[in-house]
Amino acid sequence: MRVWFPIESLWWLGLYAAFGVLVPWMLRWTRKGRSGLDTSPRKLYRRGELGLFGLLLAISAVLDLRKSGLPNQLILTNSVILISCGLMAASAWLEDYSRASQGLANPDRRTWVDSGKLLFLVLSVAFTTEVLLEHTAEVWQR
Amino acid sequence: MNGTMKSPRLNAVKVRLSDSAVLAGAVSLLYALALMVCPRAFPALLERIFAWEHFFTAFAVLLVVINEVLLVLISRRRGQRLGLITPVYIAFLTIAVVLDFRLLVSAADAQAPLSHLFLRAASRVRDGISSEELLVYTHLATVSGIFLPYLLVRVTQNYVSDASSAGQDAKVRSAVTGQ
Repeated sequence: MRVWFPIESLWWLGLYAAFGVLVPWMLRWTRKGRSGLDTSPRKLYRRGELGLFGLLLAISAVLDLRKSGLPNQLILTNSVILISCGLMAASAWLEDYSRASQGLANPDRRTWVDSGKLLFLVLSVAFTTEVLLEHTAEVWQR
Repeated sequence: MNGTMKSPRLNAVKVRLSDSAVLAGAVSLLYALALMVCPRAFPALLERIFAWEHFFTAFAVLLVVINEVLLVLISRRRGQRLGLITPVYIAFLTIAVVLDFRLLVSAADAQAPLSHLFLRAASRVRDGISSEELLVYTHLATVSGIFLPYLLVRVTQNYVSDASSAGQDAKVRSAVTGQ
């Protein structure tokens, strides 16, 4: 059995995860010594920022889909599902923002957990979409 | 205690979107993993299953069972009493999602020979939907079959609860006025 590694998809996912989540966290971490900040990811992304990143990830996957040679209805269906997942991820941030602007309390833990789980969904669906695109491109090249 | 206070309320289980997100994401990752481990066997297997006439029925039953088990786990974890309305609603929505995908796949299946006949656009001769398209459709149907019913329940549950509370309040008010 020959295992196939979707190099482009893994590279794409790594790049987005690095710039979207790791780099901001590392920047915060480098300032720990001077200001004594709490550098845990939970503290940094407590307002649901991971959900916003999920929406950006979904949009980038949709742009990749548009460039693929798949049939239009397939692109449309996949885009609608990706954007729905992205919007729901962003709603974790929006909910927290709306509550905060009205002076209502929103438990940090709930926002952090919700945005993290919804980001996982967007990440998985976007990654699988990229894997499928890469697989399709390879099959069609043969 | 007043008799109207004991009347059964519309028992809708409260769900959060993140409850189903983890399961849908994990299934999606498993799908990608299956394709990476068996890049040729997995699409071929899927195509063979698709040729089976009860494919969509079996798919719908599988998704309904998964969603109902997830709902039971959610209600147990939150300590909520599981009534009849939410499981039936979830099952109905899951079947509706699978039916939608059945329509889409059937349309794509019918479109393939037509486009070949009239447009002569495709260089490859196809009798129906290609295995690559089927791969994408099955992935989308699986993810949305788990995520979309919970999304719709999440969107509508506030209205159901509000309507139920309003109805209950109206009953109590009319009972008080009657006394």
